[in-house]
Amino acid sequence: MKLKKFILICLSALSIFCLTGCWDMLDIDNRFFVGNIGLDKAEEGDKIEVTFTFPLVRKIAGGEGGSQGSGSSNIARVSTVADSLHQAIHHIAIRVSRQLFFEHTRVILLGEDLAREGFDWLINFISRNPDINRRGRILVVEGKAKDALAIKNDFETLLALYITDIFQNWTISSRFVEISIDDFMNQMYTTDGDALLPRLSVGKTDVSIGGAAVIKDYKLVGWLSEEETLGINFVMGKVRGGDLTFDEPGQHIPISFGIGKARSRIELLEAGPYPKFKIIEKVELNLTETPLEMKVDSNEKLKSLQKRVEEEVNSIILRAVNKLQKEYGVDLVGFGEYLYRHKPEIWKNYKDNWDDIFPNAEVVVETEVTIRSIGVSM
Amino acid sequence: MGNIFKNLFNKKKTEIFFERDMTPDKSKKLYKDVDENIKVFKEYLSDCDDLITREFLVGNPQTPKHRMVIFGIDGLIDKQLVQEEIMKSLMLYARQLPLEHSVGDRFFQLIKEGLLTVVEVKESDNFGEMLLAVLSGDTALFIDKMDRGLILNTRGWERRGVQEPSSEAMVRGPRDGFTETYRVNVALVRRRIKDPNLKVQTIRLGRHTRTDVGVLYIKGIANPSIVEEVLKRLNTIDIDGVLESGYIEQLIVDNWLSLFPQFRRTERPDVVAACLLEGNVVIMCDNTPFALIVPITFYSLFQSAEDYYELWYIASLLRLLRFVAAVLAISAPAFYVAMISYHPGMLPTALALSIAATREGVPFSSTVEALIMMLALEVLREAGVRLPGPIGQTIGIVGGLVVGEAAVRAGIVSPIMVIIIAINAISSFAVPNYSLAISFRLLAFVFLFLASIAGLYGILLGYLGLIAHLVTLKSFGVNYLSPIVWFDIKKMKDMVIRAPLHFMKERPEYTHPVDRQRQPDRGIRREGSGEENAEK
Repeated sequence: MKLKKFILICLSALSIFCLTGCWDMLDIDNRFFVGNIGLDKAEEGDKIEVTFTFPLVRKIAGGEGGSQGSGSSNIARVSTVADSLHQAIHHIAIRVSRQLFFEHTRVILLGEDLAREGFDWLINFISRNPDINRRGRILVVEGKAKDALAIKNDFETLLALYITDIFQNWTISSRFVEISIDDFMNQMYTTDGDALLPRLSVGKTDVSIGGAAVIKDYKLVGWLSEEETLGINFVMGKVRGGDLTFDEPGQHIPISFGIGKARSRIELLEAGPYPKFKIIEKVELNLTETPLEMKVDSNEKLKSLQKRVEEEVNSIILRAVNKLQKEYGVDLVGFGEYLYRHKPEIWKNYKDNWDDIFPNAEVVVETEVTIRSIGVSM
Repeated sequence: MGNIFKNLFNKKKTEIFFERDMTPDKSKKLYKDVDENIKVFKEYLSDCDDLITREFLVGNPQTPKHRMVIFGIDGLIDKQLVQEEIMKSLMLYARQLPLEHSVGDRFFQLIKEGLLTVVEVKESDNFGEMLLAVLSGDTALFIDKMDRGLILNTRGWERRGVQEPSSEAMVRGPRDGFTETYRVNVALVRRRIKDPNLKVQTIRLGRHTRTDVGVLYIKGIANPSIVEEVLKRLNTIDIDGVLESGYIEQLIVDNWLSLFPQFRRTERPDVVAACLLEGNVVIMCDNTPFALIVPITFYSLFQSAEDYYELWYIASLLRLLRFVAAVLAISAPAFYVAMISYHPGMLPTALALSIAATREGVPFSSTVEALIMMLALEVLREAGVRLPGPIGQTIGIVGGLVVGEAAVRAGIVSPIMVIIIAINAISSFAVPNYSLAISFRLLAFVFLFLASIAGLYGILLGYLGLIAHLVTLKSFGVNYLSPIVWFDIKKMKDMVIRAPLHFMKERPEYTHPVDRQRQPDRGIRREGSGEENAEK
């Protein structure tokens, strides 16, 4: 009686394994860990050129098999031309020996040509595909994504880790857009296709991330320079470090500051037919480099220096915001969102034709700079 | 279950002098004639070459002599004792007594009360008792013209001394361990609890072995119903022999299908004493150094005597480590296999790649690889136990280092798998209770199987099943997961955290002690006690 019950329980427990569909056992050494996905516009027609790179673990291990000096790379690169990313995966799957595995995909690179044509299908693909790692990065390449994936250097064993690890230097630079795939997806859905993406420039043996790609309606519309990106980051309150350098008239070398903290606030000053915004920026700086003759040894001198920096920051921010307003006409500094959140009754009047109103909004910047540490003065 | 054994034994009935309840058959009375007695006694023990028989005459050479005979088993009796305290007394010193005047009962009393200088003397009038006594190492004395005999305690056989318990060695704590002799073991406990309330009830089990089995408890602490239940269950045992306390454990266990030990076994008298003070009942068995403690909970199997001798921080940390070790002992290989064959996306990229790199070229799937390594380890462990000490170490080195290294070099297994299996094995030995550790090692195979067919989902199912089983398990009516089932933090002072001793004012609840108070409820004795002593 008891035994019968026991056998019954065992049988029903075993049936669970037959009934489920997720039989996805595959040993780790039978998978290719796709690290990067490069997307370019194909030469012919409407198709896209998809490039996957994945590490060859045998060579990374450096044991038998893979002699390091042989010149063959640790990283395999496979490209195909297909109608869609999904199709490309299937094209490549029949060409490689192991199963492609996307949960460790760190980087999605968008070629400039493709980005200009629009990539709303990519957003759709990522949101439908649970395999793609949402903590990865998505970048727009100045040029072709395929070329960026051909870069060879010895910084890291993996190209994907090399690119994503550059993002960790965010606190030193603040001159690019720090955004993960997850954040990007959220923003694309809330703004319906407007966002800033980091820009990747391809060098000879390395890549650099700096500046931003302006995305409007799922399309690349233009670039922001590094300084303009810094300005936008100031407004968005995303500056965590970096440096400010500018020429001082009469001095033979520029003055440099390290950025300590930066906080920003947006205020609505007037709500006429076109609103007037005020950006209040509070920046803390450390003096890092001055010409030898220049001594900061009194409060007056410090005050005048602060004043000088305030003007400089004001102009950096204003130039960046104006570029977004006049050149691209896309609200990526959060004015619309500020109104929506804090002044809903005013937002009601603007929201229908915000795209026309935003470029004509008046912007004032007020910066308060504190130089906290001036170092040792002689 | 008792019936099965009973029926089995009824079929081939040997001539047995003992009833089912193991008390000697008292119906066969002694004869008045000593020759008749000798004849019957020798008949019982015919073909027993280890029987020693010694006939002698007692009394003044001039007067009529009393014939006497003693029986003993060679090797079980202390010959020195028999010579000095029985034969010398009877044959030498008795001559100085006017024995010729005393006959019958008076003579018997004189011998018993005035002459024999052994510690324990018992009268008996039947063969059954005498026979059992002789077989237990006592000496039987028959006197001519008497239908009564004397049982003299002359037990003294070769025994192992009290040594450090090898299976429960510890740094801090007493070094004495139980031996194979029941009385010595009881004495070791008695030395720790000098309380008349420490009760020892001895019964004999095993139709042929007639093994002494003792039930120890402290009256006034241990719950009488548990003591009663233990005795009741012991009395149901009807088996030809009880050679180790393991026999008792398996015959009276609550759930014989369970993998988990429902008795705590220990070689340490201090552990027994501590458990008695907590209200447990202890079963001790002759011929084994292992005492059984009931009732127990799952958590008490993670306790070690040292926990209470060291500071509570250290004890708590060690407890925590043991629980972690238990989880690793059950599921380390399973978890590894699940991660690398079902969920490599959950690993950090760098780790996933390095694992993939180490597995490169390994011809087996990770499940088979784990199975090979685990089986190899079990074989090594078993071989190490069987072999004598020095060779056992060699096996450890050859098996562990040489074979492991060679297997990795040859590409049969990946180095990370070796690490995982090593962690698994070491963790299982960190569990203080050996029986539990063995159960965990077995469970590791079950979990590996589950992980190989369903990944983490399988492991989760395995743990669910395990917990469901543990919840239903009972040890002498006590829930196996006792303190945690109701989740009362006040009752969990001796679980993962071993609370400072002055917080443990009450005995654990699971034993349902009669007297719950363990320390008087008047705060921590610190300065106060010092002053009191100073005044005195």
